[in-house]
Amino acid sequence: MNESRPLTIVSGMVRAIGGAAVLRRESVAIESGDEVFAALTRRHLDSAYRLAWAILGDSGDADDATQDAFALAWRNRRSLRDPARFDAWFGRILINVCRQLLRQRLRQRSRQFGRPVEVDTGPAVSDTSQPTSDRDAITRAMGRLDADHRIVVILRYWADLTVDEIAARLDVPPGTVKSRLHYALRSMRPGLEDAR
Amino acid sequence: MKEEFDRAFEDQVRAELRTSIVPPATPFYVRDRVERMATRALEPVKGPLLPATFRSRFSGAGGVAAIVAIVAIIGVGLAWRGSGLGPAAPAVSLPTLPGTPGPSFPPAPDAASARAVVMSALAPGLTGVISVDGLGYRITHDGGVTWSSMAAAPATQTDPDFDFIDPTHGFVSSVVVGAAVTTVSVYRTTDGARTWQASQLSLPSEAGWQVDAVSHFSDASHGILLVTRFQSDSLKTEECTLYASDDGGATWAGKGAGPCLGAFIWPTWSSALAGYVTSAQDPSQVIVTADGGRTWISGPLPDVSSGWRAAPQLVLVDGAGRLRLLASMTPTTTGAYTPRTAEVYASSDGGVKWTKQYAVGTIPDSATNLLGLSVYSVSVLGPDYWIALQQGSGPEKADMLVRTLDAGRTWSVVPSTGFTTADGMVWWDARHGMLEGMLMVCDPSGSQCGADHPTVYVTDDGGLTWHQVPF
Repeated sequence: MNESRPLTIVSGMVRAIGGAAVLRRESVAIESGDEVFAALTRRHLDSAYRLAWAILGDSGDADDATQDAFALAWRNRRSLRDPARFDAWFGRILINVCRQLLRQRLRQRSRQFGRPVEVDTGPAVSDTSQPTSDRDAITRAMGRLDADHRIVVILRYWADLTVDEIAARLDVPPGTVKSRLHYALRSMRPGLEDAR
Repeated sequence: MKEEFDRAFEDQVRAELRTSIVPPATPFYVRDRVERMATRALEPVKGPLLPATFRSRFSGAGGVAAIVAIVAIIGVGLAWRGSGLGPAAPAVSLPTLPGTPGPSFPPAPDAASARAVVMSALAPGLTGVISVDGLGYRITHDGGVTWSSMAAAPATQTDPDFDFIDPTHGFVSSVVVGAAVTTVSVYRTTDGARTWQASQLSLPSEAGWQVDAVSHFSDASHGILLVTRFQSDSLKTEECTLYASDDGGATWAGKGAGPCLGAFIWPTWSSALAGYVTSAQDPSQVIVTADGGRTWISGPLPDVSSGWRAAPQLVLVDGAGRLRLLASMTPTTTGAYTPRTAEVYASSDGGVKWTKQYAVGTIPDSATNLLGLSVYSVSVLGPDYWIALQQGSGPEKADMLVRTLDAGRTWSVVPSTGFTTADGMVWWDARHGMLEGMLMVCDPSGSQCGADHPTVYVTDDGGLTWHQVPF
């Protein structure tokens, strides 16, 4: 049930989620490689946690995913040759960890042990200003998506990445991203429109 | 026009996601942990990095104390509940378990070496199968005391559900998608997994279509195979076909449409004969079987259509021949996933009409303890003796083993030792069970501990003590 956790670290130019544009300037001033890496991890911690939380919808899982991703990044830091590409490089690691967690959780709970499919898969709702029915509808709609579709929806509509950026981060063709988005929106539409 | 409509819908999704998903600040313990990684890397090497995953609830300086607290909480079990967080639950004595003292289990392995996942278990003869990452399948015939490699395991999909009827008869299904043909295979063994034979069903492969299949055997001869074909870009299952075998899986005959209610169909079995299916699309319906899957009956649960979502947890046939169903109920009018109540329903017509029997019991302090309401992985150990897992609550969040001896009216915590997190479990009988959980591992200094490494535990005393399976 668990999939192994090999990481394919491939460089790719992916836009930051949350202001990594200053990385190049900062990295110049730092001397040793590990110090550069430490500085990069500190700078990306908050954006990584936010993205993990958005994908996983659960604080405990976001805690795990964030720590897991950074631990894996540290172990594989020698494969990062250009600090300016940390964002893209680390983004793949984080998404991969989140994806594994999501898939593991959905499989375990919905398939083998009969837990409700939707349990813990929706984003937690923290803004009470939005009408309850809307928040519930989007929560349920997201909760019905599998890991791959949920991730592309979050990256596209919450993190505002382009299709090409998502494709690079997921290491899939842009057409696959579009297909997943199309499928996800199609499956979400009835629930969201009914709530209106 | 369509494009504009799609963009409008995309804008709606974007707006609602941004409003709904507002992550909290990074917890201090996560920040501390990541900072420690950097600190360790920049310092002279003193030891290996900690394992990758450390659950936040155990990280930080209070890690050891947290673990001690958890062990203490689990260890005292009922006493803790009675003296701490509210009125005591009704006293429930442990049932007298037959048999002699259990065998000596091998010592638990080093934490770092344990990487395992439960695949399947369950048979009157204490036969069970698990998979171990990188090591293949392991099989036991003595309730988990000893394990051996399962030779000649069939080439199946990545997460097969082995179905052992007795120590010698086992089954597993798989789907292999080819360019032109999709092959559904049901493998069977009659010699304890030493050799496997297959019967196969071929379907034309079509772009955009997926096939899923699952088999279930109620005894060594009688089994069913559910095959679903569905379009990849639609949640609606398009075809669902039921096959049956009366010769141990050698031949199969079509029995018509299966229990389709949308995608994500996967029966959950409470016994060899009784099981249920729920739909992600229509939460008001449950489909049950009481004959091992030969016939499926669909019916709505009362109240579900009026703002509640039901999550069935078990179905069984009682002594009077009626079906009984335990379901957790969650309101659909809020964003919460926590059940607010759980009910036991009964049906005298096989599942067409259900009537509410009683609400399952819990202790009054339901905000922190949802005994009975949000149980999962429920196993039936007797007509009124059900055992289940309950997600932990409170800062430690240690998962709990809970049970009822009166068909859900009252629940109590089983004072278990040996595990802290549990994803699911299966039981051979009232004494012998197997549980999938995570190991608690600590760094050499003991200052940080967390749940890591999926592993397997077994018990031979009804869940009081759990032994980690060595690999």
